[in-house]
Amino acid sequence: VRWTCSFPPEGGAVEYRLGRDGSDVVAEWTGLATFRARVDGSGARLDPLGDVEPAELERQLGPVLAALLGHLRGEIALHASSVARRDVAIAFLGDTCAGKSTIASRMCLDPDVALLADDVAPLRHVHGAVWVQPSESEHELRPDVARAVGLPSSGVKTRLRPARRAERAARLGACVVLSFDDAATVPAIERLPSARAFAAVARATMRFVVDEPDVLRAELDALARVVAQAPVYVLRRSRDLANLDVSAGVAARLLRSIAGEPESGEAQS
Amino acid sequence: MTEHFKIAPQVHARSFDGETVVLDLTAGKYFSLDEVGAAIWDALTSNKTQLEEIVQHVVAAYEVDAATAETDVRAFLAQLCASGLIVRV
Repeated sequence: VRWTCSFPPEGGAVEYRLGRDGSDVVAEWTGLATFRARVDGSGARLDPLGDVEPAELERQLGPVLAALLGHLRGEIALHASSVARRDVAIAFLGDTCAGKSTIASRMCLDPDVALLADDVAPLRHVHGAVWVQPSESEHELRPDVARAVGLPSSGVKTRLRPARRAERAARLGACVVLSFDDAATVPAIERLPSARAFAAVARATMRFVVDEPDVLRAELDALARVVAQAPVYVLRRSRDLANLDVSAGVAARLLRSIAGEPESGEAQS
Repeated sequence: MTEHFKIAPQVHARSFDGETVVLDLTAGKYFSLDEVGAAIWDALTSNKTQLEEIVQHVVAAYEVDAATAETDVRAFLAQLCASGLIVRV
């Protein structure tokens, strides 16, 4: 196997690595499983290592395997959290520790909002539209974030179930890039022009194979579909959790708007 | 001597509201072209392979004199060549 990337990238004990064996794609999660498939996604096979429970394997690898297979088959997945309201989804993009899980968990306190993804949001192109597939059933939150959104917290980062988990795919209505601005007294949201929107979505795209022209052509076409369908915004806000309600409120208004609902407080006739 | 350029075979491009994203299929790298860069790319995709034709394409699209356009087009084409997105023919 010719290994092409590994994690952590800076070295040390390898947790995950990806490579090629002729026309096959091979992935290995240390102590968990190895995966092999042809570059078009056919012949996929997962071999667990040791005595890992199937449910634990699914929890740990299910979303990333869906993303990997999707990439080989011409779809993309975003490193993003995502929530849905009335079958319309919003995806939160951003660097590690940008607050993707935090804002999704706060929005899921609304009984009309359901969790689609906490970290990996697989997208599918069906009937001319891009849909976010439900991929994860738990938030992974720091204790201070869990406390801030009223969920039980322990002394470590924990997985917590939301009130509602989406049971079916939702049409992608918008992407929001999360950015901290500690000088911001109020959160500010701004729509990105097309080229910057493309760059933001491309940056969030989980890429597994970057040396196969067919996979790459399909990736660019999939990115173009996302940007054509879903406006991309940047939300700049303070990192202070005391302001989480206000930041999540901005995102919630955007989600209600793209879901076709009136602003709360508007007269209902 | 007339200089000719053409788009390299291993690239794939898409346009977005006047800007263009070019993907190098051998390295998996994305390149973003601004409006003027997109116009030059558009000339190349329209089989305008001669430097003079590309310069004329830019002059026709923007309020710029031919000498300035040629300087800018030459510099941009050199960048595209260095990145492997186009080749001299």
